[in-house]
Amino acid sequence: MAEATEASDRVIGFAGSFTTQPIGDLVASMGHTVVHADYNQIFTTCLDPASAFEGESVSHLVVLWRIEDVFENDMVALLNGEAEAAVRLVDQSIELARLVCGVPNAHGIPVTLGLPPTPVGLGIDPIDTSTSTVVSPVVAEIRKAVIAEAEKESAVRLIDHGRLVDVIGGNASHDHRNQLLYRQPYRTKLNQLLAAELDRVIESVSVAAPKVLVLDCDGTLWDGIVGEDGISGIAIGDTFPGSAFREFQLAVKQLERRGIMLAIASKNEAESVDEVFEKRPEMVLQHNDIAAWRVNWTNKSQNIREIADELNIGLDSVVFVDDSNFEVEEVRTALPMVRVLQVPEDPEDLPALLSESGLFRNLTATNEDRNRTQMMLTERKRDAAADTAMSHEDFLASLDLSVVIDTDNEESLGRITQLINKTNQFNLTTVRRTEADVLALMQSDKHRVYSASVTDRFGSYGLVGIAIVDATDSSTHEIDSLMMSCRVLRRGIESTIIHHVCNEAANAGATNVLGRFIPTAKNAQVAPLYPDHGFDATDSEGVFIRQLPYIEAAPSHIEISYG
Amino acid sequence: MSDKLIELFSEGLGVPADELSDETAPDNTPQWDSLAAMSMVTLLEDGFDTRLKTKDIMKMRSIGLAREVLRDKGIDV
Repeated sequence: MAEATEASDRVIGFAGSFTTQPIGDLVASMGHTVVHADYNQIFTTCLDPASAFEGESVSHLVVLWRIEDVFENDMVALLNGEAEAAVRLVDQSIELARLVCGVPNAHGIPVTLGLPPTPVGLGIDPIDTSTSTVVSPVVAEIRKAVIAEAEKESAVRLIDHGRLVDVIGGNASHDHRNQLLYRQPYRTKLNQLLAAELDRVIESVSVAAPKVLVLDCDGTLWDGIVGEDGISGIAIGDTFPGSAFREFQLAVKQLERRGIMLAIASKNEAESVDEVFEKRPEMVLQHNDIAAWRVNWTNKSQNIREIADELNIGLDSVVFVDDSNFEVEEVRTALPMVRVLQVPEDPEDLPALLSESGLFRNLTATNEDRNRTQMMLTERKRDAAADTAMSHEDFLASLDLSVVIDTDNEESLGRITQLINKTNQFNLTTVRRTEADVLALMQSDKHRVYSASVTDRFGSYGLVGIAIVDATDSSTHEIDSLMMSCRVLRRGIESTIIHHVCNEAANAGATNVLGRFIPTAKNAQVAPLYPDHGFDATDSEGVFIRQLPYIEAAPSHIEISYG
Repeated sequence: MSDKLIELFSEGLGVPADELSDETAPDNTPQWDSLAAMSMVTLLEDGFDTRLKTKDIMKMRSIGLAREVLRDKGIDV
């Protein structure tokens, strides 16, 4: 993405309940600029980031905290048997989480927030059950509450600080001497892991999120080659090595639950693969879990291209898994934007392949994401309808499309911001915005944020189109942003949106509407959009102007209503 | 002759090695603040594969004194 902020442009601000400099130094060595607030100043930092970072304007805030640092007194009270302290700890933690999660809205800064680990020190014996039975439920409650707060705000990412400590182990993570001397509780190993995870989370903000996992079959979903070993000769199930492949499928299935679409690209006879899915009850993945199939003898890169096309997603949102060196190389060479994971040589390493890649960690999932596979399955029915229809017009008419256009609808702020930041192909200007930016536009008299939600006879697509209009110049309204999810291309939805925008402008007394096309590597398909809608090119490259009124009728196959 | 101890202090303090000597101390080196002291401990422990006690760290009020502490632990510096 040409528009993505380069790592070097970003300033990462750290606020911690302990000394964060060693972690910050490691993050800085990964190519970020890092600044630190004073130690244990999380509350004041979130209230006033500008002064906490001494005027340095940070583009991303990282908050790392330990319960025993921030609420030491109540933690001690809890350990001394004061039950009410548990309630205070949870309530105050919620307060802290709310404050941190409010930073994107209040200050326009995205946040990565740590989920706190189990407290150490303060005289706690980590192995003593009478202590852990008191402390563990409180920690669990706090972590649950923090997750709930973070989920409300799409510009907040979580990093599981507590689990990182678990992964390394309590004793191997902590350096009690440094905690006493410098308020720095961790050994280098834990700091390195925290820094690597932070880097990944911070980078993931500007990298396309994975949307589809393309899987090979032989040697990837099961051990053996079905075409040679036969349906009963391949290994999948309870005994090794089939058990490793089954566990891998369990991990794949969980991704599907979280909204990642699954596709198959296998060099096989289609019947052989179908037979495995149908006749091997040990298969975790079922036919219905797969949104697109390419079982043939074509190049994998060609098949992946077709899958991306069929599912209407960019190739940079594809993750491909295969065991063969040849296929892995072929795809890496032909499609460098596709992320490729190779099945490890030893089957016992396969179950952790997806989790260790980190590619699917902490994705923010909206309901629409979760339902995406279902939508795509419905989409296949739509395409089948397209195949049999007489003409494209007949097909469109048969869809019973209806569009609801809302203006400045704050309830959809999260989805609108998500679409603004992830739409690459059908996007005229590719201006990215934070939730705070969008909210400000909605509340401005001079701007309208239109959002279009689409349904047809097969189901709902949800909110899939956005237009942002700048009416600062009352005679010439400008379409600042116009984008649509690829799920609804070639249905005339864009014409309906342009029609509505132009009519609204005319009603407000404008005589012209101005539109811009800013080319990127991905949006070539919308270059002719404005000319196709009666806009005239101007002397400025990529600037088009349309005289009002907009006399053309809106597409007749779409029913429009207004929210 | 390269002096590993001076090199580590140069890295930890962000000061060129030729400006450092055994007399370099927090009092005459503004870069030697508490955060630098903290990273120096890690650098020395990793660099010489040793573990320092708080009383060792407290003694290290100059590069020369750090050298003495490390020598007391049998490290050739």
